[in-house]
Amino acid sequence: MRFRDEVVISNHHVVNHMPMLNFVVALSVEAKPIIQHFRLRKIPGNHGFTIFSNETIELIVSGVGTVAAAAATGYLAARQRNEGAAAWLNIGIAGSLSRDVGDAVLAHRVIDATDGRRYYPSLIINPMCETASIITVPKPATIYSGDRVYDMEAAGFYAAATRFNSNELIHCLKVISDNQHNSVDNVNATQVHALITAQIGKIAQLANEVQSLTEQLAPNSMHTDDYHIIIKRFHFTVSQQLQLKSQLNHWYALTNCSLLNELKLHHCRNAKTLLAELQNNLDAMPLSYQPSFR
Amino acid sequence: MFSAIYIEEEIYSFSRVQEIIERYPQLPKVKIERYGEVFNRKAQNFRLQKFKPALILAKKHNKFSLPAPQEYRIGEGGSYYFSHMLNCVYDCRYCFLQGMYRSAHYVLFVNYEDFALDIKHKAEAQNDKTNYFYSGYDCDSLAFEPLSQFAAYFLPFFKCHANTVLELRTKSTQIRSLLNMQPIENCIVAFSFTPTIISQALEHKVPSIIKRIDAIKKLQQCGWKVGLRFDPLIYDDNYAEYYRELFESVFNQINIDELHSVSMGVFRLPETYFRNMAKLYPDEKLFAAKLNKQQGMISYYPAIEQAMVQYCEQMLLRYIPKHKYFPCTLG
Repeated sequence: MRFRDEVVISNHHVVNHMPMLNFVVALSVEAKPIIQHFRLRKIPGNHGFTIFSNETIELIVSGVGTVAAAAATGYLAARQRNEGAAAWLNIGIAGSLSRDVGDAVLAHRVIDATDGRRYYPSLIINPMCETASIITVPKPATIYSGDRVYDMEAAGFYAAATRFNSNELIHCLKVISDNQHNSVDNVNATQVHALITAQIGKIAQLANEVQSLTEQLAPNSMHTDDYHIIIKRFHFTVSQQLQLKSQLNHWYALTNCSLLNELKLHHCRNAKTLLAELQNNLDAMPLSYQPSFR
Repeated sequence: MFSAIYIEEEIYSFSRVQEIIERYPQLPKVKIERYGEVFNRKAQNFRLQKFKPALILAKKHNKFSLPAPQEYRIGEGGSYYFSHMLNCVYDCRYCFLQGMYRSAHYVLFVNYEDFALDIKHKAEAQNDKTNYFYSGYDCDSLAFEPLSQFAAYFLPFFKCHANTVLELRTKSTQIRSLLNMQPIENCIVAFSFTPTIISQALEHKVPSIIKRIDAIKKLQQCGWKVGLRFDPLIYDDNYAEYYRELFESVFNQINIDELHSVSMGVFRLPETYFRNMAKLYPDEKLFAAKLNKQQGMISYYPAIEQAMVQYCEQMLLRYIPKHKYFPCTLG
């Protein structure tokens, strides 16, 4: 029996490192078109928030305001404990002085009106709509100024999401629901549903773009599989786990092959001997930049 | 080319800024107070940003030029480096910028006049000496030339200051602005090279060796002084063959008599930068090589390093006289 077989049989351990995409949406009515489009299902249980998911996407309905948005973002991140990168999108409605109702805008800056903090999402994705500054206000805005877009969650969401991932993967897309001609007081649930539904194509495009970015950062699946199989075999101290990760990185860089498919480790009696064996193999490994090499 | 342009409000109306932003009408333009609001903040990923960096137009307020590291020097006298730009168009896996910054965005300091004034003061303060000013430490000196007009501005300036020498360090073939003017005596255009196999593996987006040699030939024909920088030397089991081929290829095509200088230095990085870089690119062979940590620096083990340097020096000195050779050894 091979080392890999032994461990798989003994643990039945499957590790999912699929990159995640997370939506943080204030209201159910804003969330519904997204839930329908991505075929998300409600996760049962008492979470403090309503959460929907499929295999690679989770959506949390946060409630209104920065505190709610930040709490929901933190809850989702803590719940996932994802070892890889995750993308985060805050979708919702917003107000503007001169933009047309129904327009979608992607944030190039998020400003917290209460403390003046500013956040700059990296626009390395191809913007699918115009970009703008979003100013997050504590109450619905009725007086608008300049070219800014007014919302109530983006700053809370952004501050929380950047604690867990880098800003290239965190974006806010807002659909204009009110402007100087169409007061926020006149916006109802049916309209909000229709506004988000009308922009679902752009939301899906944004989701695709950030998901493909997260794949760039996803750990090598050979690496993660081998790692999780090996650490189930012996007791590894924290320091030894780090050492193993580093050695596995070197192994894949030099061989581009699964360690457990290439190297016989049956004779290793414990973590220490396994690490020593792996290091010996690495030390003896040739180094060539020839593209055909390995 | 860029994902967006961020512009410091203070310099928004500068003609140099307006000329640049007019070239990109379709890009989002965002006014900012200081470039540090966007550049090098927490929660940024250099590797992701490198796919599509933004351009940040900024003003530098101080430290326009700084004393150059000892190993960087190619002559006696004052030595300074200056960076009109942070980050590089190219994506060389060994480059320390990946480990130094969290951002891959390009910061272009547009107040060239302030840099020039600082250089003038430094040169005047030591007017009995030759003062070397190295450009291309935090960026490539020429790769952005069509946009930055850096060389077009600074070459006439250096021409007027006889006790200065400007080194433009580059891997670029953007030499049009140089070919369009009379060569100046006190400028060295210094091209960096690694062997083809290594360049293809590690120097992403860099012009081929053939194109760089072609650029050198054109510059030499027009009378420009050219330097060669074999830095960093990168280890491969076949390094001897690769470097022999590289030297043969370069020295057989350029005018060696007109060559200003050649320098060479092994791959080395501060440990903190190395750690950041290895984390960004865990599958990179360069970081999986057998490396040694000594006094906070990461490099090859002394035996490998000495063998490479000895071999390459021996090969080099078959082509060039010793007085043109400047080894980059750590002080």
